Amino acid sequence: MNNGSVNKKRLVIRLVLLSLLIVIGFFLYYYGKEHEVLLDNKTVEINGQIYEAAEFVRITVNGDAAKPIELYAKERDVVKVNGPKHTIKVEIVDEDSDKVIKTEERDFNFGKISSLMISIPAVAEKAPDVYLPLPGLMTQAPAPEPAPEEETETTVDVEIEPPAISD
Amino acid sequence: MADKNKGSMSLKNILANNAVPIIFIGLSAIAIPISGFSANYLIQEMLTRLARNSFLVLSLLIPILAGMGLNFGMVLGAMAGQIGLIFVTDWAVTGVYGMMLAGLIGTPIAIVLGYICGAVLNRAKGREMVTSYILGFFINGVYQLIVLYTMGRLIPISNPQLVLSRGYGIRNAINLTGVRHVLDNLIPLKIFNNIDVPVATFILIGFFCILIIWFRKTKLGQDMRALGQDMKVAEEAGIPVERTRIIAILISTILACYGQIIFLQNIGTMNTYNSHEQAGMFAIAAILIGGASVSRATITNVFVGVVLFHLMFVVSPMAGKELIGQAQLGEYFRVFVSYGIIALALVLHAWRRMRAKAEARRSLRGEE
Repeated sequence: MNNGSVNKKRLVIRLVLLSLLIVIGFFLYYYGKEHEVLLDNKTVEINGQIYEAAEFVRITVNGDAAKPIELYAKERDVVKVNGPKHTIKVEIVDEDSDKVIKTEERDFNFGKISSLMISIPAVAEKAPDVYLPLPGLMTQAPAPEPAPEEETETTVDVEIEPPAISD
Repeated sequence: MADKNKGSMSLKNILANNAVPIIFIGLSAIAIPISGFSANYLIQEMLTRLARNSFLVLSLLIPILAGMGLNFGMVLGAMAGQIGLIFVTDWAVTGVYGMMLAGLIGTPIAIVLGYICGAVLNRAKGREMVTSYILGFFINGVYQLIVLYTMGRLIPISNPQLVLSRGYGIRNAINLTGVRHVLDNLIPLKIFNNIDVPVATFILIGFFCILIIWFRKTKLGQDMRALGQDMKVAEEAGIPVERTRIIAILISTILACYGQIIFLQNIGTMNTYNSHEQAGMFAIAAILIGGASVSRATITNVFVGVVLFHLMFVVSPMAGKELIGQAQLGEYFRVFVSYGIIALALVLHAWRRMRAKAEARRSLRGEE
């Protein structure tokens, strides 16, 4: 009887420890997950609304002013970020005078998604949905916000080679 | 008694007990000036290699304490660590989180493998080293079967950079960009002339050394020591011999798993099918060069061994090049030395055992 209760206690302790390890595992996965974010500066149509590409845009991810991403119209770049929560600051800049015409900052929660594409013109216009479908070769889970069925890119530029998932 | 003490402290005994490190200090003293490396470069290399390898080598201490000799089965733990790293690379979990998750995934695998190893070694008492060596080959086969045929097929691996072009199996080399130097650069510190010190890794190693010192004083640690001295006496004293031996191997395997993760985060690239094979051999060579034997090893042996072994690693190819004009020859020499030293240590161990037996016989006969 006594032996049985000791075994039961031991089993409970082991199960609790196992559960704790699984919880820690999920925590580590969620907060250590690297996200590959494609920043797309093309004219796009999202939910029937057209967002025009900016002539020149400066993007700062997580306030890292030392590494701004500068994109001209019809350009796309990729940035890798760790953890779920991020801030993307979009500055539409007049290239000649280097004067900031418009600034928009937005918080994102990428959750568990590995790769996603964000429309910079949509972010600048404070669109409710800023996610775009990934380029063909980048198989990926759907974006956090549901995209409309008729969502299409209006530009037909030369397809930029999608970056590798990780290097 | 006094005579016995005097005898044990004799110069001959000191030389006999520390023959290997003395030989290596001598070799290094000759090779360093020939190689022409600067002190700065050598200090940087030694600090990096100490941080990279110490944890793996320290994982060998517990089985030696328990009288199980050099745990060639530590490669099992290394494989577990590598499986953890494959998964975190696939899931793109990076930074310290990625390293910890790799450790977390590797731990249950290391526990299972360690238990298997311990159980097998309990059936091969007195022949633990050769058994664990061969067991390493066997589990390596299982590892290769899993990694080469089930990953990407039965075990989902989504990252195309990890999977072979045929659609399943892991590529030969994996780039560990996500975890590269994360522990080493966690607390950045530069000393003297821009020498990088991996502070966080050394803190972890220091913590582990304290843990070993504490562990030796615990009931389990004392049981292991008793086992190491005489298994039959320990059994008569009521120590659960087989259980204690399994625990010793289990601890060693788990620590080897963490050691391999620390090692690979420093290297930054994983050779999927070979990295673990080298881990065991080089760790064992290092601890033996540090003056450890099959039956006795200390923390000092670990650090002295890592420094001397890796000093030879760095210096010998360049010394070979300067002497003969071929770096390859120096490299051959280093490989010859690292494997030769294991053979030498085993021969010395056998010789010491024979000498101890002969002395015991003489003392039973009442001879001097």
